[in-house]
Amino acid sequence: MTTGTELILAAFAGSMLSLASTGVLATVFLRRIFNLVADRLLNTLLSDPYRHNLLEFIAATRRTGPLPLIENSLRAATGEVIKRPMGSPKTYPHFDFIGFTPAQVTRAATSGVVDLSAVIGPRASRPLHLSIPILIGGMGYGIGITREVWAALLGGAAAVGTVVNSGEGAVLLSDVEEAEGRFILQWSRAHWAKEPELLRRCCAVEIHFGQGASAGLGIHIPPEELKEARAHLRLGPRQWARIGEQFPGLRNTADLRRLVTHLRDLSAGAPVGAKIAPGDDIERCLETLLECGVDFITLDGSQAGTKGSEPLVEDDFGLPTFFALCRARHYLEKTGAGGVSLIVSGGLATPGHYLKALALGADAVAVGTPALYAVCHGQLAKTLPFEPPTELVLMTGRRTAHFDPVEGAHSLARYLKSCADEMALGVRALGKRTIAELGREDLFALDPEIARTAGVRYAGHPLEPAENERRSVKHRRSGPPTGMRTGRKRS
Amino acid sequence: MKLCRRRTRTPPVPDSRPPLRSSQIEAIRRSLPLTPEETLYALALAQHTIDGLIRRLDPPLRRGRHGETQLGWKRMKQRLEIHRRRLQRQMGRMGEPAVQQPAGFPFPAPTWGGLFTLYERLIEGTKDIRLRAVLLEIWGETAIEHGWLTSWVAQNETIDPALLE
Repeated sequence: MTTGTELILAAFAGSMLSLASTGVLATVFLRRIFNLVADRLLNTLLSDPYRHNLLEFIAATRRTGPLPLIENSLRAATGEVIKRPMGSPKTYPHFDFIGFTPAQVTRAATSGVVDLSAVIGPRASRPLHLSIPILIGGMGYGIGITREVWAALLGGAAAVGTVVNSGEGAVLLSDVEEAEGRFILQWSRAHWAKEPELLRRCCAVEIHFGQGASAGLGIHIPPEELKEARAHLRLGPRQWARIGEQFPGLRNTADLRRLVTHLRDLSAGAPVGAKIAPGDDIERCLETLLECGVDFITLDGSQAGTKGSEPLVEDDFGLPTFFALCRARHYLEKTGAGGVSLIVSGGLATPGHYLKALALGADAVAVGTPALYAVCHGQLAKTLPFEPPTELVLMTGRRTAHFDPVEGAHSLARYLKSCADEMALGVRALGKRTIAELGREDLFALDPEIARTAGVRYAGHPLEPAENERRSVKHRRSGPPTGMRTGRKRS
Repeated sequence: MKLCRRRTRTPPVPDSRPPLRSSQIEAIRRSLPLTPEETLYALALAQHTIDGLIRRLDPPLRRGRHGETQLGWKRMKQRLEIHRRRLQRQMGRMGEPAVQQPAGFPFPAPTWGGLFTLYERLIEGTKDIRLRAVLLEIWGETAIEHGWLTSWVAQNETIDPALLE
């Protein structure tokens, strides 16, 4: 027994001694070894012929960026069409080229509480009232995200008086009842989430024609990715989830008009809208939708994200959000369809973006990726640094069981409140008291083409005396509001 | 070994327990931070509510059938007026003793439920420790006074129940 204890002690002392000696040696020689390796590496990089040099990789990536190289490798590895999560990395002319004119000398900034409320579908029997003009874009349970994440989005949105879009996923009545039905039911080309009870409980219905990141394409999802959502999507154990490219039975405008009327009746007068991925034919799409009598239109620009879509579709299809919004607002004004609400989404990431979109004519903005990251706040350590945060929220994620929906809802509510407060500050800095007072006259553009597209002043041109007078009269007119506004009023 | 399994189709499952309850959503709503502007607005609204409640309750209770009602109401009215003045002082401490009613937000009809909701929202939403302490005190005193209304007055006087809710 004594020998055994002595042996263990001796082994322990030996290992400690070896560890200590290794530490001393490493401390003494580490700097030298590191220096040696660095010298060799530098020498190789600076003297090897280019064709053998590792630096050729840098030259190659400078031209295209590292992403295409990695994506091409992924293509080579599987031979399948790859799907990139969270949208296109491409940058387009965006809201960053636009600025606001602060109120100070000719008019003062305002104080007090700002009215940020918005109304979607003011002509509908039961319009959708939002406390803030930000809503959560379509992310479907089962198709994209887990039920816990959708519930967190729903709870966070309901807590601040806004709504969440159901996306193309399954919707559970018990979940939405807990949030007082604060959701937009997306009427997709799938066969699930079509229960009349859901239509009666929702705040609005959105017919899904397309979305920025995946155009008008459908989707096939294998059974193993659906997990427990399979039952809620009413699919068998070996059945794939399929969302088609066309609505069954929808062949022409008359059919669409009938669908809009049918959904309006079933939902007891909730606003019925349509979501499109705008292209260069945006005016034609809007004309058709207006003919069908929709109450709102959601424009999902090409910068929009998704749980995973083909790089070709993400990068090379569709109008960027900024252009889509400017053209749509122009068309609606020209045709006198001011009663139709406009929701924009895709690439909007900051309260500044949201406010500029509203000033350019949107009635509300829908956010996806920022909301998803907000919902993960405080829980990122559960996946990082070895896995991306999407592992926590997507159906295909390996860490979904660790997601806490209550914490997620709390984080999202705080995020939305913070954004809304920042936007309120922006409205006050413009000398206004409600978002309904925002307009293009509050904006200027740093680029002449952007200015022309948006219908705002180019910052490089001085203000002519006549225009100066006209603007000051306009600002005097847009003084304090006289009562509660129920909708955005447009001139 | 089974070469082929029997084809099965999962029947529609009943909705399982929701991951988030309405009480949790309500708790999240109440705990969201208030901006100084919102705090001032809520304080002004609380004063408006107290004034409105006094105005509505004074005629029936001043002429109550029982002497205890008249005496109790006199004491309660004094207490509510003290609350109003304390709220006014808190607004003064925040630099705006007389916040104007925002044009876009008409004050709602005064109710006890509304007053308690306001106090609770302010207590949970403000980061000002001093304000929270004052409001906790006021909230507690208001709860006691309201308890007297819903017990003694409701049982012994003929009064519109809507005034007590």
